[in-house]
Amino acid sequence: MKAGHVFINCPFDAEYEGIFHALLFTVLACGFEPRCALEEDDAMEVRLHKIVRIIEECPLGIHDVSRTELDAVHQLPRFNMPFELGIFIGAAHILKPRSLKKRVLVLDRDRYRFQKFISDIAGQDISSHDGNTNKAIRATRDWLASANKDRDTPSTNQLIGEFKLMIESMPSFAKTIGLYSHDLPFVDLKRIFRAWIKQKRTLGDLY
Amino acid sequence: MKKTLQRTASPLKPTPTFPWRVTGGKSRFSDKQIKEAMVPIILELRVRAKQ
Repeated sequence: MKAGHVFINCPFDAEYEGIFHALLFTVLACGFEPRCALEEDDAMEVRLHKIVRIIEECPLGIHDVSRTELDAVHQLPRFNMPFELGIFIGAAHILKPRSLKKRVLVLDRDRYRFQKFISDIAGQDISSHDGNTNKAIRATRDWLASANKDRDTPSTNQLIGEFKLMIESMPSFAKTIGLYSHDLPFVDLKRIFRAWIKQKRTLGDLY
Repeated sequence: MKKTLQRTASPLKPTPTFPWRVTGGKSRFSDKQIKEAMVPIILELRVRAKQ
């Protein structure tokens, strides 16, 4: 396992993009390394093998199970997030040595809604974000702070303020780099956020 | 009579919009490109910080 690596298991669609960006930002801003199924890979690697490899390498996992609606076209729910949560919890119990303990944060819209559709996860760290980026930042920040007390974790208010500031500057950044309304690989998004955070923190005493 | 609280799943609230769609795949930008595109943003942050 790689210390400080955090597996982010969540929807990647437009409706969820605010929370996804907030999770990614918070993990980076708290000094951890975000990983997810969108990261660069060997084209020959099977998707499931890639996910299992990432899970194996990550001691920490953030799993959002809020997407329970039926797909508008097929009238079926998406099972990928609960499936990957199951792999992560399974790995936490099976992988040796147990001293390299994995920790899980489960996010949903409501604190106790999981009891209605995935009650077996009772006993994990479960928080709600209500579809709100600020609440997602708070839940993730608090969990990361408790996961590694040795790190100096920024306050929730600082993170919320920085995220808002960063998001405001992103259209201008995208225009400068020639990216407006284009696909952005996850690996680049991570580098852009990391670069912004680093620059912002050097200005810290001016704020 | 005991009141029961009816809770229904609320749709996700509006979130910030982003000038891109996040995808998988290989990196498209060099560190130099990212650093250069970051310069005007950081300059603006400096101006705002001093105001």
